[in-house]
Amino acid sequence: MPSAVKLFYMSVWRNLLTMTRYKANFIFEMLGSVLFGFGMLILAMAFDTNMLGNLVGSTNYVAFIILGISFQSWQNTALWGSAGMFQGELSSGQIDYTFSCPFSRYWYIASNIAASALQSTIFFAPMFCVALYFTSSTLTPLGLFLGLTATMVSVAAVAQLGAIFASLVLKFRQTTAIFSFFNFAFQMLPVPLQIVGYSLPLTFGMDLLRYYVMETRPIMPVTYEWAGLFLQLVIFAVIAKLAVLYLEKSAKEQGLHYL
Amino acid sequence: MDKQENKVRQIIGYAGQDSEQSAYWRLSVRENLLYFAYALRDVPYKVAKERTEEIAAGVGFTDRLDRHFIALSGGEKQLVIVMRAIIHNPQVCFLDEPSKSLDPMTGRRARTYLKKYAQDHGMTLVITTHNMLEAEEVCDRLALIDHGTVKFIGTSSEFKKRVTVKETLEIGVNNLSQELESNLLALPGVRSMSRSPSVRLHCDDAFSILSDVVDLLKHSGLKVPVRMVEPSLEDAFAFFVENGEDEVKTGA
Repeated sequence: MPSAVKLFYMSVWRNLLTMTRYKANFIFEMLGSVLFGFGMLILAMAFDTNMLGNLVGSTNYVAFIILGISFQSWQNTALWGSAGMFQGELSSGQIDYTFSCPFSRYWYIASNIAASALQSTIFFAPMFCVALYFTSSTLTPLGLFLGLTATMVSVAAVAQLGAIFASLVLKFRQTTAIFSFFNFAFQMLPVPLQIVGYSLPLTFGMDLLRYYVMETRPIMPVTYEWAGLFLQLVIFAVIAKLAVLYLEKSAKEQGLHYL
Repeated sequence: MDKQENKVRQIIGYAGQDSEQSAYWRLSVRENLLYFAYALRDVPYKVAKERTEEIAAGVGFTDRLDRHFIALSGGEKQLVIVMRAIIHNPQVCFLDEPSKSLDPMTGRRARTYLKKYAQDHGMTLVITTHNMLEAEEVCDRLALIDHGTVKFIGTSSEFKKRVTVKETLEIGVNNLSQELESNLLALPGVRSMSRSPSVRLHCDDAFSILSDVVDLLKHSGLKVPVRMVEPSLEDAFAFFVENGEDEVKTGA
């Protein structure tokens, strides 16, 4: 049975080959990523930086929003990457072949999410670097390390949600969009949305990244946020495993075409 | 089987119906086959490379191994999907209409290779097909399914015997007037008629009705070749479908 590492490595190989075959698109997407980062300078003028300062303890809206967008790109990949992959396999007919192969469906989904996240990193790393440039007054190596670690744990937890959505795609063909509020200060959201936000790993991941890189005021003590993040990773991983098992059971009973 | 599902998956190969788009478009044929063999089927990398070359040579695809999948014709894509189904040397391989979109020459080459491959490697091939020629050429045993029910299991010659198509007379046209068709069907010993690729009369004794058939054609102003042919599986199948199971069983 192919290992998760092999599945991941070969998914990265496949994605990189595909990506670099569209050379012009590849180059311009990288350039666009840098330009987009600097473009945020214009947008920043439209915001009340004092209000942001009062809410999160930093007036650096440029870094705040670019970090949010970079973070969102990884999260979106983790959340929808595998669902998109399964939708593609469904329309091309590859899903039948995939399900006839001897590997863990869970690790197939997880390794493809990881490969897609790595692919996203290539495109969004330039924009992320622009954000770091704007945080030079507060940035430390340890802060960067902890911020990126929080991001990775958060992406891993969101990837579990992605696995659940991928299972839903096969079961229900289409799944609706999920809310995204990462470009707004969490404190600005109405209380009901804040309650929903606490149950999502992106909230803590984004908040920790901004805290370590920009020294913003966290929404709760950072140790609680770390604990919440790891707890969510475990809970969502269990749910994702169950969702994939349920999907396989349904596929065996009804056949993939009838799901 | 549920407990050892991955062991079962390891020994089976599969190519589904309408799956000719089911590979990565921007990868070459070689890259696609390597990816599926090495990543998804756990074939060692070196072996996967060798098998890619070997199978491509067998079906005459070596010159197109480095073409992007998207640049292939529909038939070529289908052939890649069939190659993918046997890349890991399965013990049992399920192919659903494998030569559906292949041109006649490619289809024949693929069938010959698959049959030889199955014999050389001890692989069981399970093929679903509407193509009687393919079934007759490749399969040792047939299962005839009609409206979801298995109506017959056995060899092609057993099937032909069972439906009692003794002899067939081929008329070199594929379309006759309704009146002429009725007259031909009314001849003694004529059991049924099929129309593709040419008109064929299935009867007990072709020789005895030959002169009557020629006379009827002459009266209709038709000057076409008429000959006695060995009934094919398609003839037997057409007879089976047109006359129903009961008549076949009783040999009426």
